[in-house]
Amino acid sequence: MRGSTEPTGDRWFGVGSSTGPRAGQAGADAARAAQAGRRANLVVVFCSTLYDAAELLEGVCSVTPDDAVVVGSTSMGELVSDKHDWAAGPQPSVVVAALGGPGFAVRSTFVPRASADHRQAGIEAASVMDQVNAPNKVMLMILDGLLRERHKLVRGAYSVLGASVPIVGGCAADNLTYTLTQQFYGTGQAVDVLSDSVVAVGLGSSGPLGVGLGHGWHKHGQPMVVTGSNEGEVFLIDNQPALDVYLRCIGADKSLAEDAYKFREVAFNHPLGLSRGDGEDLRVIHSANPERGSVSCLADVPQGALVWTMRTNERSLIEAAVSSCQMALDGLGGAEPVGLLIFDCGARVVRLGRGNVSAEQGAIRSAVGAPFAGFYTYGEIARTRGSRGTHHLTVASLALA
Amino acid sequence: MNGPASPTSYHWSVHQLTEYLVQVSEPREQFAAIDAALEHAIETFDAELGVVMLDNELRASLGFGRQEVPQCFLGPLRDNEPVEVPDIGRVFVARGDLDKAATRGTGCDGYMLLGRLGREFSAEESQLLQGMALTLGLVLHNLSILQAERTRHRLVETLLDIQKAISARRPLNEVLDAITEGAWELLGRGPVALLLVDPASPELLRPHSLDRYPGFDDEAVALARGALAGEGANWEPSALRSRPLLAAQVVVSGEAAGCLIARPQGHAPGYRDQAELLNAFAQQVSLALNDARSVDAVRKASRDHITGLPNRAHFLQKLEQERLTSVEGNTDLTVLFIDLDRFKAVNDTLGHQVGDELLAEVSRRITTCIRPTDTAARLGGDEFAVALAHTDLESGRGVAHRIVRALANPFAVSGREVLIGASVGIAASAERHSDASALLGDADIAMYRAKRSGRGRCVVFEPYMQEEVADRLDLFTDLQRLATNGQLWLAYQPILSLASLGVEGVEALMRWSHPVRGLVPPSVFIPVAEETDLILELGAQAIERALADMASWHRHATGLRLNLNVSARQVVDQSLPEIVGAALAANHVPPELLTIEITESLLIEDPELARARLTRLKDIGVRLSIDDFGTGYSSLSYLRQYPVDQVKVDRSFIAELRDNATNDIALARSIIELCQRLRIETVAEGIETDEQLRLLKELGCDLGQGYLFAYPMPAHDWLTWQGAVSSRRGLSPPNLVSASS
Repeated sequence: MRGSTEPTGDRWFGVGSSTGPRAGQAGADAARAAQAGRRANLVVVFCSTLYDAAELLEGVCSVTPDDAVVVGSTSMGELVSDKHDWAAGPQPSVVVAALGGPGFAVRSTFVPRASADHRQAGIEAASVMDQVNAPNKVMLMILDGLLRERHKLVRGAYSVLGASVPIVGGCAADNLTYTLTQQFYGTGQAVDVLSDSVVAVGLGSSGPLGVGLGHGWHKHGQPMVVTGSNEGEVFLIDNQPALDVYLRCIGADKSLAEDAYKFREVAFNHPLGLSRGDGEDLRVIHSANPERGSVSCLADVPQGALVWTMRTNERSLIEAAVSSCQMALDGLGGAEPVGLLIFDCGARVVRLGRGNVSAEQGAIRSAVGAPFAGFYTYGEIARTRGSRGTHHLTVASLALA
Repeated sequence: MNGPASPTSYHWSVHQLTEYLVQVSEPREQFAAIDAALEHAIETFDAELGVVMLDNELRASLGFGRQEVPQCFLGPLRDNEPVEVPDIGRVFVARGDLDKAATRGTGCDGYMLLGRLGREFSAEESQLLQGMALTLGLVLHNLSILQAERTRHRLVETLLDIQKAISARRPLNEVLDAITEGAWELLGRGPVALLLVDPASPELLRPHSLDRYPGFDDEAVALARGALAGEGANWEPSALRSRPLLAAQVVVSGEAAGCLIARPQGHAPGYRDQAELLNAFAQQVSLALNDARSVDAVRKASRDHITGLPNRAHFLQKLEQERLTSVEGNTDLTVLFIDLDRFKAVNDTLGHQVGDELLAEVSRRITTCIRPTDTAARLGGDEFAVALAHTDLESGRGVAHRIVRALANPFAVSGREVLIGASVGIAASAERHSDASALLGDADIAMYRAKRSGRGRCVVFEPYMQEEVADRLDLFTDLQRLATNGQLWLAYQPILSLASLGVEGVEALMRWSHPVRGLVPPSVFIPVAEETDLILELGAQAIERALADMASWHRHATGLRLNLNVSARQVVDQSLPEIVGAALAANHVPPELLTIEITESLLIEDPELARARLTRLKDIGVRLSIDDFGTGYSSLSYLRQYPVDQVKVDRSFIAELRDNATNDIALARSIIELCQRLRIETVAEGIETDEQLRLLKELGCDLGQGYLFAYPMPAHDWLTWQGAVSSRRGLSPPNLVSASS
């Protein structure tokens, strides 16, 4: 575990970005801009899979103090406040957020082979908070986006942290290839590129912190009951093959399931919503299995759950992003924000279209009035109220004052 | 940190409970069901905090992080009563009770309490929570029934397995380990250990099975002592500050013999059940120990401890039963008496431990040659016996041959290969046998006959053998006496150079003048003496006598060499070099003038031992000669492996030597030429004719002895004979003969 000093006063937050063709140079440029000559405690790097991550991180380290914690992940696009025309993909791009000042305390750890025991990985990751002693605390988590049972991981972390520590973060992405996502963990001296891991940062601050959430999706049609499922694979809905029911609900032909790419494009626009006390818990459907008549989600869909198909439109999605950030800012209790970290669902990029991504970021920029950086994820993590912390098709945000 | 305003629209339905029930019903253990229920309920209501209480014990909590559940949250709370929880804030609570009629008194009484920040629970939510809590109560109740049933079933199965192991006479350690393992499984895989009183030091408790007790410590030993002292056969909470230990006493023959200890898993209400389980296993330990001790006692009384086979007494009992049965049923009964060849040599040279291992392996091989219904026994030493019921002589002979073949194969003992063998006597039960001893005695007699007729033989008893044995017994008795009464004496036969016909040396030969039997040939009395250690005594006397004679003759003829025969048993005996060395020194005879003659059979039977022993003899400077060469099975090339100086060509080769006997000449030539190449001196035995002498000279044989030169003569005639030879030098050898045997 690595860390910096206890918080006592000033805090700063900066962002930088680059779309330069050379990974090392792009990393160095973005990190230099984010730090702007200040001594960083924490450097967070989100980059496209088009870069060689190791080379990019060498560039980041070349301009970062040895004792600064460096974490991050690959993405399917980034969010950043310093470019007005920033659009996620398809070109290589990197975004860096840096924070520092004696008011921030940073500890970090990582858990390898998280898929071996998700809950235990969450418990181990949460140990990062043991050494964070500050009036305000948050645990930042970056997971491998291909971990299926991430809810168990967050449950594990919650069982250790309890209700007094919020959790926020996102799942690393690989631009919808679902083959390999990478997580970054290290310091300004060197950074490891990992997969199947959890990278955790214990962040303490002398100033307030706020966490926000929003998704912008609405229920459509009649409620249905999941009558057969195993983890994320749903076999039966209302005792009928789940795939048939789903295609009927969204008005699609059965042949759609035969083209995996087309099916995913359509399914991203019609997630499932699970009934929860505080609204709906969304599930992205990313594939279908015509032979088994099933649909598969990236997270668990418990048997017995009440579900709907969900709908949205571009305006609603952009409003949800703004609303998430606003909720995080509200959490600051009127304190001036120094910056935000944003974890926006990658499936929203598909639904919004690349063109609308800069519109979304423009709307956020107008609303928050503080630097922000983030990435489009394979899953969002935000636990403030209740005990659940995993989300999908959602925007999770962390505001720092 | 302030959160967003929470949505209030709920879709409560039976499906909410269904999803919950699926989650809660999945675990097979109560604690997991409780954790799943609490986690799920908290998520369902978007609550932050939750606890489950059972029988006034906190069984699960969530949302409190590293801090203990504050008392304010554990007290009697009404629904929606606001509670200020440190570090978390003001929460509203809702409670669902688990205890209804179905679960009351079953250890499933309790409640689930949830706390939510900032929002009260609606009536609908409280109702759902009540449903969830009741569901958990029923699930726990069912699990406890299932658990009890599973435990009972597993207990029965485990105890049955242990009983089977005890009755199958599995090794005690194996049984005790199985009991400890069973207790460990049934007691929830918590630490379990068995401690037994050290029989040698009853005040000491020795841990027996500790594999299932990681971190075994003094506290455990202290508790075990308490249990032994009768302070409580079960759990002893006073000694235990944090977690209790259970102990159950093990009793053997009414006395405390140890105890089984365990750290129970789970919660106090279950300790009583666990204590009962532990007692059940401790009783198994007692049973196993009692059984093992009684079995051990019986075994010790009737079994040979090295081989595990019945001993002589037990065998005779069994044989008598079989004999009576065969007499009544008019069925066949055959007995084999097996005596190992060369076992004593192995025992003497490689030690008793190797000998014991060898005996155990021999017993295994014998057992594999017989039917399960037959009885094999070790009678003592290297003697075994087998009783073959319903088996006639011919079949018995077949079994005997099988055993001989099995024991002729090399044994791997203590990392080395050992070759022995066996001679078997066979006797069938007959009317003349008054008891089992008589029957076994006949087989014993037949075995002696087998031994005498060459090792590795099987001989069926014939009545005449009994007389032979009696005769041999008489002979043996006489032999024992002759060492002191002068009946044993040495005869000397000269050995001459065939080239010069000069006397080179003399061979000492043992003679026995029996007052009644007359002159007993060595071929009769030596084997009798060799059957016991008597040969060693007679041999040692012969060595001392011959060297004393030599010393006296050296005053007249320095350089005269002495050839002395020693038996295989003498060679194997470790004291031979010392005896020879001492006799040489006492008589001032240079060691190089003494040639020890051994038979080639010794080389064949145990080459390694022979090499070791002969090397020791060579070390004191004496010369070695192979007697009767050519009569055994050794190949000529065998010679080069041993430190041999001389070979005595057996008289049977010499007897056939004639001018026209080309084959015999060729045979003699091959031996002599080989010896020449190996620089080994050759002596021709039994030269009786001039023709033989001439041929042997032509073949290059170095030395010779035989009636042509002289008969063996008493010591007092030697000087006379030698003087005569000297004075008649140049005369033909037959004229030199002084036949005074």
